[in-house]
Amino acid sequence: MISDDTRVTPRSGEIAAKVIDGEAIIMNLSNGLYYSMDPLGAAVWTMAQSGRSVGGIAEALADHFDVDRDAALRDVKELVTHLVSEELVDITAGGASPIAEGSGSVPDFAAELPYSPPVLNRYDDMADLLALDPPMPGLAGTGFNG
Amino acid sequence: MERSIAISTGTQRPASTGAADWTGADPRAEHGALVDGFAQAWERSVGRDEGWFVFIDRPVRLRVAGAALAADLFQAFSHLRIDPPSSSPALTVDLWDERETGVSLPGLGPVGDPNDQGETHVSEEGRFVVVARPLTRTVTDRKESHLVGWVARNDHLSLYELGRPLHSELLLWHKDRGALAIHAGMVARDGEAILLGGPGGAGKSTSSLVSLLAGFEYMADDYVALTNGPEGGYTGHSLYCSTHLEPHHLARFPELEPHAIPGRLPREDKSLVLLSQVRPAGLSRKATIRAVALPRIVDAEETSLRPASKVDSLLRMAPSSLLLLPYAGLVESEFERLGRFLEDIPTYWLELGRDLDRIPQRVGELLDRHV
Repeated sequence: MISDDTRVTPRSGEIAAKVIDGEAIIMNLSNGLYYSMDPLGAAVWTMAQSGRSVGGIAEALADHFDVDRDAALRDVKELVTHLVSEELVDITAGGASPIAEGSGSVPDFAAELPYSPPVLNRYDDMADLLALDPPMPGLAGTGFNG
Repeated sequence: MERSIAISTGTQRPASTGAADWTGADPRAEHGALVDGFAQAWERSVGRDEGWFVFIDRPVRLRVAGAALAADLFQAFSHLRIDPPSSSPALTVDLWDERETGVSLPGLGPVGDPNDQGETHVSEEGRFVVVARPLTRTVTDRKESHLVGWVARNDHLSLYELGRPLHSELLLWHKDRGALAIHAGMVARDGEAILLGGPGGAGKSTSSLVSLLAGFEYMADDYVALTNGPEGGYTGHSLYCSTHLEPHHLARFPELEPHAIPGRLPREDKSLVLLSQVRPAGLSRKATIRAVALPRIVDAEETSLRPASKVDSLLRMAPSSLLLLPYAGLVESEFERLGRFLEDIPTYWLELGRDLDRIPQRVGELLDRHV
């Protein structure tokens, strides 16, 4: 259940993500699925990584864009729900959390754009190939760097 | 059949006992046993060969006991061959063919269906990596940069193993040396290259081969090793001089057809062509990358160029380059590196129309713009 206090972080070891030219690209190394998010989605992702809660992100969006807080909150919760269901993030805090709210604001790459609900695009064309030829086990976890 | 992977905890037996159970439970012991096996084969074999090659500017020594196996392996890397250097090798590869040499090890034999992907086993500390395929077994000692292996019989190897020998083992060695393996083709003019990136079926092979036959220098149609070049640039390095083509694709290249080796196994629908047999003078080892072109097939008469966004470029290249690497878990840093590379280098769509003969012209235009 995603609440205003919910915070999320990318799943360690399985998810690789990069924001490039204001869009986010995320790869799930365990199943071959990959994703893209438009600048508003990338902004939500970036603020989440800086430690902002779902409510804090919605507030930042409402402060910056022409969108009311309830609508922004609804959009952020929907995106975060998708990120959780796709196993791209873990919920790290929720409810009455003692962790201080992060301070990330709307990133510059999204700041000049009009508001639109953030979108998560999903691509599955590599998933079957990965299932046929899975990679070696996580050599990074073995402590040997070659 | 799915390929199984496992991390072995294995006991710390002495490095060379001459015995192993070949289950993957003790990669270190397997390495020792294969070292013993190779030593016997090398000693006994009349038909043996040693060659030196350059991989990412480093000397690599390849010793093979078994004349036919040696001939086949050396062909895939022939464009990288060098005279023996005065320096030590950065990698030593020792392989023997049981059928040719008569040297076998207890319990070591063909396993599974020839179409199986095989298994990988890693010692607990990550130093020893076993790659077990139906007719081959190798162990890499990553600390000593020593790859030793057994081949049951060279004449039963798949076309993939002939065209891209030791593929996962060598990609890991490249990774350990800081090179980034990219799923791409690469062609050049006077040492200045265009990287042709994208997933399978995008047109990388076609674009690379048409360019080779039009007189460009050829480094790859499938895998390129990327390193940071001098003065902040990027260098692409060749690994194999092979190409694998489906029949309808091969039919576009009459010059390649006489050299095509058809598939041996039931699932092999592509033929192998060793380009060293077709245009040896057209093969190069490395070049400075000046731009990235992303081939894609379009419904148009003309082949054309248009700028590609960095997002489109990363979406186009990252999945096939990174998700299919043989060493998952190390990929996060590679993703960051690929992203930085694409941010630094000009990127274009190479839209392949029906006039494929214009591909070299478009490649030349990119080089004219960015060199």
